[in-house]
Amino acid sequence: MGGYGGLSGKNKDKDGCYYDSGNNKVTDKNAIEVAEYYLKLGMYVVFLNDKYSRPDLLVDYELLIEVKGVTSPNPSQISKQLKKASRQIESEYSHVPEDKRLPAKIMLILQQETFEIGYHAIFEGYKEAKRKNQVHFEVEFLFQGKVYTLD
Amino acid sequence: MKIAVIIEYDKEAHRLFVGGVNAMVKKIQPTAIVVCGKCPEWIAKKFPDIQVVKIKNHSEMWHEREKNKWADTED
Repeated sequence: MGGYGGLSGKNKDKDGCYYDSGNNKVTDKNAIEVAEYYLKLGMYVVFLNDKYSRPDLLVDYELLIEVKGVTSPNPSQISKQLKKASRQIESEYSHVPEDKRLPAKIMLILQQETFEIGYHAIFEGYKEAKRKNQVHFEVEFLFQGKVYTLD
Repeated sequence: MKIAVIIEYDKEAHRLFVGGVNAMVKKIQPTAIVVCGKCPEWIAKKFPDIQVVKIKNHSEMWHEREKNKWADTED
């Protein structure tokens, strides 16, 4: 009854799903999108168990990434998201000695239709967060399969 | 040399495959990787010093046989 191919067994999902470090199914679509970007580059990605409010991904065992989706082109909202993302990474660092901390960054996913609107909002939000000293990590954003860095 | 089989339709298996290849290269430092089936593009880019040898899988060989059969029939 099984047949050749394997899909006729118990797992009927065509593509399957990802599992995190706590063996739970990953449902965060933003984290999945960023993870797939790095997997295409051949970098191993671990979805961190988010039960304790941690960064979302660990890439190649040497980079922590916190992912946030940008739905509204409002710089204040983006600034708050950056602040929250920064706090999540710092909470992960709180129980790690300083010399053993992995580098970390914040990845925003641009969900706007046009690059210009989204970029402007992100840049203004980033400047605001920097001015208030609320973000302490590198910030990048992903738009249509490409990653852009904010300086 | 190592042989790797890719499970294309399963996301989690693909993720583990990427991790496995990276770990394998780090540990064994092969001179060549033999891939049966569809070869991911990143293997050649990420490991330029390692030769990638591609072997056709059953599906690819079958398709090629069918294509040649039809080409012969048209002639």
